[in-house]
Amino acid sequence: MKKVISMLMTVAMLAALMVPAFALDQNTPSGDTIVKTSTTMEGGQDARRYTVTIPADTVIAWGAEKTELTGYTAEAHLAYGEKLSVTVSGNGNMVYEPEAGTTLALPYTLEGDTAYESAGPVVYPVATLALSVNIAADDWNAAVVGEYQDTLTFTAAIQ
Amino acid sequence: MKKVISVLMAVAMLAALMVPAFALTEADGNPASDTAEVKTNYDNLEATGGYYTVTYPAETTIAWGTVDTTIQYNVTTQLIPTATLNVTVKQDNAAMASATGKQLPYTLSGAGTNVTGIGPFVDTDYELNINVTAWGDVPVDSYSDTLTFEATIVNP
Repeated sequence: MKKVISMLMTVAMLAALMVPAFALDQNTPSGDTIVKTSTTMEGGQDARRYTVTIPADTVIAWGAEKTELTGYTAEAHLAYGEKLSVTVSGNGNMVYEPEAGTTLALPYTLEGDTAYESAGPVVYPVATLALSVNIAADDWNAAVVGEYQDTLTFTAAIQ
Repeated sequence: MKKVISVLMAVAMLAALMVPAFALTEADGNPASDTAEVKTNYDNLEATGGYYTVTYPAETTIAWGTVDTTIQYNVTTQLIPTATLNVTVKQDNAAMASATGKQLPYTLSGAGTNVTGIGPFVDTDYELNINVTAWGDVPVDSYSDTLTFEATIVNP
């Protein structure tokens, strides 16, 4: 019985190692094989991916009513039916603290691709997205001169 | 009568056992010898040219993003001396297709796509490459196509 079991296990192991193959011969001179892609990359990682680059810290010259932020780009390689979305948000006020306990605000708005959604699953070549910080002239004129700042948050997701 | 019948049957049995052969006759007390020839021919293979086997993978999976993928196949031949074997591999379409109809173009290259003059008694491996460069232009999905292998005996 032990010999029978060991022989059966040997046959099963050999069958697991066998690679499927087809053969032509004089009776069958033509045949087909299938080539296909997988959805994982060479190292096993998911082929679905995206890259969103965001602007570095941007200095706004005093009095500039519209400042374009550069370096905001998107590239996506997603599955059929998927899209890339990117949202940008801030607090709406840049803040200056000239001394402890004192906070001064300078209102601003964002303009451009603040709620971006790709047209399809592929964004390639890299797409340059638009984003600007707008501060009205009246707000500049009403502000104490100083260094005001705020943080913009970029959020990317697959839809 | 019984004895006559049994003798006749014995002679008949002996005759059935007799194999046609040359006759060696011993003379002057010395052993006699002669030769008989045995040989093959391939008259039965003239029409087809002989035998061959081309073994190739049933399916090849390409990892996403891979530019060159190699397919290897094996050829063994046993052909008549005047025959050779040609093997071609062709892609059925210019692009692999997904279930949603998206197209991923590809090409074949390498010596294994068109091998001619394979000799009458070989056991050799051949290779061809599948080239895909347009990975970035299509949604991530499973794309597939069919390659057709064809073997032809020449000058049988």
